[in-house]
Amino acid sequence: MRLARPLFRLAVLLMVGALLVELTAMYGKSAHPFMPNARGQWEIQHQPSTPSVGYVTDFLGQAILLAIFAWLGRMLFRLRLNPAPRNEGKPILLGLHQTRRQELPLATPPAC
Amino acid sequence: MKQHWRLRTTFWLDIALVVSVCALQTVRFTGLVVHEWLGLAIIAMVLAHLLFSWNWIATQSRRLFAKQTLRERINYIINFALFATVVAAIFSGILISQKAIPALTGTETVPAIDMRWDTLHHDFAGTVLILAGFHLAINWDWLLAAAGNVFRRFREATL
Repeated sequence: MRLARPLFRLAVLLMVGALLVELTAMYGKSAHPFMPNARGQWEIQHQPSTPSVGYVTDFLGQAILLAIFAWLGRMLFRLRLNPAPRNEGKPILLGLHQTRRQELPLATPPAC
Repeated sequence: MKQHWRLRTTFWLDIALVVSVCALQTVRFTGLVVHEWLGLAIIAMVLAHLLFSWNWIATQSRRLFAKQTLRERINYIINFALFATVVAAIFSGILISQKAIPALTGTETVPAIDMRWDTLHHDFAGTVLILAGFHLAINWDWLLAAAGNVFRRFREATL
């Protein structure tokens, strides 16, 4: 019974995933992507099977690229996406009207 | 205690996802075997990430057509686009798999990769990196707070 809820959620996620797979397949059949040249195709067909620590800079480069996109997004979203402060656009209530109402019978009319 | 366990698990899962996304972009560094198995492992990581965020997903999906702030709306669009692109990248990766899928299914490796799907796989993977950056950006405050909480508790435990 405890597992029913996560399993249901998992099923929902998998169903949405299956729908997206179907859409990707349709897109893949209709798309005309830019193909690499013969040399590029040869490189793709002969990619190394084993890890190469010498290319750790590639990994670091991707991490830096991700950080740049995160920074760009942060700059973009900070402009106006954060909800405005609650007090923005609202007058500061000093409670003067209450004081005035209390004082009204005693107050003298303003001098013109 | 249960809350902290959940926070710690979510935090380290997110870190693993960030590292995996970067590693998956560099086949030369990981090699094709690690690249493909990591690509399959990321399915489980993404599903776990989404299950941990289920309350947010359910609430925002219910309020999809209701009045929302611009931030909430953009956050939802980015998250959905990221999910769709990750699914597309994994699916296209499975179609051009040379090591993991043949090993799992017991079939022979296709001698030539389908270049159309390979190109699309690269395009989807590049988009994942961009959207992952935006996803990080919009959840940056949560990430910082979670990191502060996790490492503060870690320091308290070691002292």
